[in-house]
Amino acid sequence: MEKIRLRVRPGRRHRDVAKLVAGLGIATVCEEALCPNIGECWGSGTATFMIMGDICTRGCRFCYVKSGRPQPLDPGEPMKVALAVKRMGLDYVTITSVDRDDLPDGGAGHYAETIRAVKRLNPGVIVEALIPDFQGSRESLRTVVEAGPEVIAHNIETVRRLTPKVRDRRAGYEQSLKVLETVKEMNPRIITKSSILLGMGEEQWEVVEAMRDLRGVGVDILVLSQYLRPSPRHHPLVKMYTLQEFKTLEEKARSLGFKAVIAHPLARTSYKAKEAYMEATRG
Amino acid sequence: MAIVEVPRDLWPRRGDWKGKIVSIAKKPGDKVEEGEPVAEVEIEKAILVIESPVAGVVEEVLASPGDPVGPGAPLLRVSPVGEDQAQSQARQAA
Repeated sequence: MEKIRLRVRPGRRHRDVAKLVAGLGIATVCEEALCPNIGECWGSGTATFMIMGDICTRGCRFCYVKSGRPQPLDPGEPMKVALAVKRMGLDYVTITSVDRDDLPDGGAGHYAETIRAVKRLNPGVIVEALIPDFQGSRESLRTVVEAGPEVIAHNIETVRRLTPKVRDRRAGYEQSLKVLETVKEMNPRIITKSSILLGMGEEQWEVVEAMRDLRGVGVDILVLSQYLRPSPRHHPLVKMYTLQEFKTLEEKARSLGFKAVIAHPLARTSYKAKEAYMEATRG
Repeated sequence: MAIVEVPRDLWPRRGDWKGKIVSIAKKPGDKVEEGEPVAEVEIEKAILVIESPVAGVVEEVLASPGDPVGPGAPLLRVSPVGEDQAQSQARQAA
């Protein structure tokens, strides 16, 4: 299978972002997941922050983020993220996190504090929270919802059948759908969003089933992207989708009622996130 | 003199990725423009097309197809435009 080609030449803005996030001591998923879009995003002065450390308590087999025993929470992190948003002059920011199954609230309180700090220091900023499942805890979800992010994303990542093979055993297809449903139920004005990685062995009808399931719980924005195996020890790459196949799936997704669809081999949850939000909220 | 290398700051705090050289597009004596692709490195996720950060003349090729590389691995030694071209040419002739 032919691999995607990425032209790389980190320039001044890329290095400025690197300096800023390293100086503040905040992690980015752009680095931790070896995101193929880092050159484009950092080169245009944006980044996706990853809070609560760079070690995840889960070990999903598609993901490059380190797994293990995580660091203690940094109580200064919410303000650091808020400062980064201010210094970068962002009007739309995606904040994601590692899973923190070791914490009683899954880190929801810290997440909420980060969203509040970002909004306090950056009036008018639009916040997208790409959250873990908090083991399905309604209380944790309420904590994040009440912090007032405009968008809550939670990824089902793959189709129902492959979920146990691809995601950590503590994750679940139904649980993820429930998370998205609960967010909408708690605040219908919040835009919800989810991503599916393609190429891990799913059939097309299963992708359509996953789309229907996401629409069934009211998800507004869908992201479809190509799985790229980060290392030989990760889940095998089974298929590279063509641009035409992405186009066909995008049309199908739109016909199912998603308000915005980002479908591209290099799309990732926070890729073109502002554009997707604008489309989803356009009257 | 400038060394064109596999970018070490692409994913700055994730320096544990590895790859191998697929091809080197230049040989000693070739001119190189800033931003011109000079090498391809295959990593698990993709093929990285490495662009030269400087314009100049290639003095030496420091890697070969098949070589295992990681962030910061040297690829080319380039005499940037403006350096003493005569000195550079003399070195190549030697």
